Amino acid sequence: MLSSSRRLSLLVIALLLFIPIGFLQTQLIDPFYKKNYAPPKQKNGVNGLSQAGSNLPATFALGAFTGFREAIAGMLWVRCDEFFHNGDYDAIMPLIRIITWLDPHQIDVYETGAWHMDYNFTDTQERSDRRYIPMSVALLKEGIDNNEDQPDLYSDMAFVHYFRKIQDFPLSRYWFKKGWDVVAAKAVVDEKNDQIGLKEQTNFDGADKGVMTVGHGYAHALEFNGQEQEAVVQWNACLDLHRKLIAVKNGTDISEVQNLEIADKQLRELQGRLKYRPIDTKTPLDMGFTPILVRVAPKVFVLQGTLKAIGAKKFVLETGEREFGPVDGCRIEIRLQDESYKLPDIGAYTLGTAVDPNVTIMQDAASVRGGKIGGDQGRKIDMSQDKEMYSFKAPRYTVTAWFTPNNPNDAPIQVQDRIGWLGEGLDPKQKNFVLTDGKSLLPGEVSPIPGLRMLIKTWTLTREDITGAGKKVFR
Amino acid sequence: MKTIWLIASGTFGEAMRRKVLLIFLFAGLAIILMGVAFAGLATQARDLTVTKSLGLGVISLAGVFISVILYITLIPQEIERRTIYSILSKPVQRYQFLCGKFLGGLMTVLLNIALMGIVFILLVAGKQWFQYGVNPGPAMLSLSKGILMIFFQMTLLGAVAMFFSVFLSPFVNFFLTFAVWLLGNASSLTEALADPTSDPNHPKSAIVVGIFKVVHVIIPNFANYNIQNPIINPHEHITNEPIYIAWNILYAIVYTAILLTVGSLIFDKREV
Repeated sequence: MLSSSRRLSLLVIALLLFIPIGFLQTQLIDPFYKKNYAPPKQKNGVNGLSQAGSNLPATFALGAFTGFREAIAGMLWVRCDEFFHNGDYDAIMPLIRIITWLDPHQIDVYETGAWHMDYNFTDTQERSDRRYIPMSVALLKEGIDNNEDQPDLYSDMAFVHYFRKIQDFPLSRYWFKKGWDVVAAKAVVDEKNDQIGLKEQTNFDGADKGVMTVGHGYAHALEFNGQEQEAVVQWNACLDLHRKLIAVKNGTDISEVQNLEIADKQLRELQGRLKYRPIDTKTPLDMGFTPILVRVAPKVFVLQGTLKAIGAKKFVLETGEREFGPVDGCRIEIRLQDESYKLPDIGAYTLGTAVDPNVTIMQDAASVRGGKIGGDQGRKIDMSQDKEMYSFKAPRYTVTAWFTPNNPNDAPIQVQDRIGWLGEGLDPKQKNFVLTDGKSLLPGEVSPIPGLRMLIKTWTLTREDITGAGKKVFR
Repeated sequence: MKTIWLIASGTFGEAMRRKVLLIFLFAGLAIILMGVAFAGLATQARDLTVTKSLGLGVISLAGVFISVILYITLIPQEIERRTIYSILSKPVQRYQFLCGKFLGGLMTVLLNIALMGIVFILLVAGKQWFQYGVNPGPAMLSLSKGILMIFFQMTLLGAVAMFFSVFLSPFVNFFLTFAVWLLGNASSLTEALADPTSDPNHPKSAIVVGIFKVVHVIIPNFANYNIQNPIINPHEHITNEPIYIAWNILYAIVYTAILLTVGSLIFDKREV
């Protein structure tokens, strides 16, 4: 048996060892663990005790704390896939919250979750529920925060969300730029590694993934914001990177060669248009935009009217040979929303996040055929079948119909050839013409573009105007 | 040292003969193999993620059961069988007995985890190579890191169980060790509770913060060893990871030394 003094000294030594243990834990291990391995901190929550985590069913919580985090996330993602195929989208949303908390690096969960919110909650006519948009942004932002060096999520935010869905080109450009910065930084690192003989370790994998998605996307976004010269610079940057990638891979990657050819073609077309559009947009064009809104039944409208589009029916960029005439393919956007609606800023997408059942937003688009909006029949907008989506609780509503020249969905490229990137060729004296002058005029708080000209018509309707019976025409 | 080694090798041989441990080993191996089938349910992109995650999780959990069941009985069994008297009547110090038992147990845990780990790594490598045509080298290396961390987590857990076993019955020890393991796995929780700024809506008093800081340092931090996330998400690149692994190995060694020292002191006083 040990003597008392020896026992005491051993005990003191053992207890003193907690000092290096505490230092190791709090000063070295904790910061590293928190940065790289811990469940992510979420806004409005505590790290490790986030809103998602605190609402986690006990089984998952136990698994999460015992090394099964990612396995559980993987299994739940399988379950999500089943819900998706059954069309049970509502069931997917809380699961996505739990999965991204359990495994913050599952990129496809953020991508798919945001895509669901953007596109898959629809009414019976398959118009998406715009009330989910702020949640989609919150989820994608969280994904980017947790995976800052992954170009895929920037591309999703910029293209799938802001470019395709919201058609907010300044914000699309912003996120493409951020993604491009990541890709360009990766390319610099890869190039350095390549030069010092670490070629096999990197092989430009980081840059490779993003040059097509965010690199090309950024060039397009610049063009649609009326920054054609910057777009030329960006296409050249993409070409440089494609050439580097092809050289590194010794020309064996066919898709990389194809990507280079796409960028080269896009650049040549842009340069051709830079040459001819200033000439072709000089003569002011009156497009005769006269949208008419007709109530045909309670909560059922038809959008009709005219838009006389002129576009290039023939355009040979190499020779400059071109012919202009009436063309189809334009689109008119329409949106109805509560008069007092403001886009909510959702700081974080949590298990408790839900759409406001009292808000009504409807957004649709009508194609223009033969100069008629929605063709001969007009575009029917039936909001009577989906009471949860269109509750019509507000007393007044604004309905906006618009045509934006810089939006390739509204103005296809052959029409842009006549009216320019930002509507330079539009006659300012025509009806419903607006020079935006850097102000945001579109509903949904779409960011303004300096110098953009557009055609826009707004009506203010009362609830009675919408829910009343019988035919009523709004001009 | 020779005495410790003799006790350790005897303990190892005896432990390997215990069928209960083999049950956990074979159950672990079976679940790892079944993991291939489970993963098949996932989308192709998530297939390897689920396989890797499930495999590491199973090795970890089987390791926990093997460690706890083994260590909670090592000392009480010797007392119950009265074999301890014949050992301690020889020129064997009690701390030597305790360290020998711990080392023997650790060899058993190492063998079990290594067996499961080798099967698992070969399984993932085969899947990558034959099913997806991907070079399995990097994945094998990263999975080895994960398994190494699981082993050191079990070292620490074994030390906790061993420490309790010198003064608690196996029944109480089982639940107490599990409780410590669960609490130690929730380190981000205790750390958040010890952070006065973590929740601005609910400010904490200095006393509460102080208590949780002590708890955060005193409770062995098992969550440090769960590094699966970057392993199963290969696009995640962690810089200075070897240094982090080294810190945690050092943490396990120092903490184990504390537990064995204090355990030896208690055992030394105990009337056996």
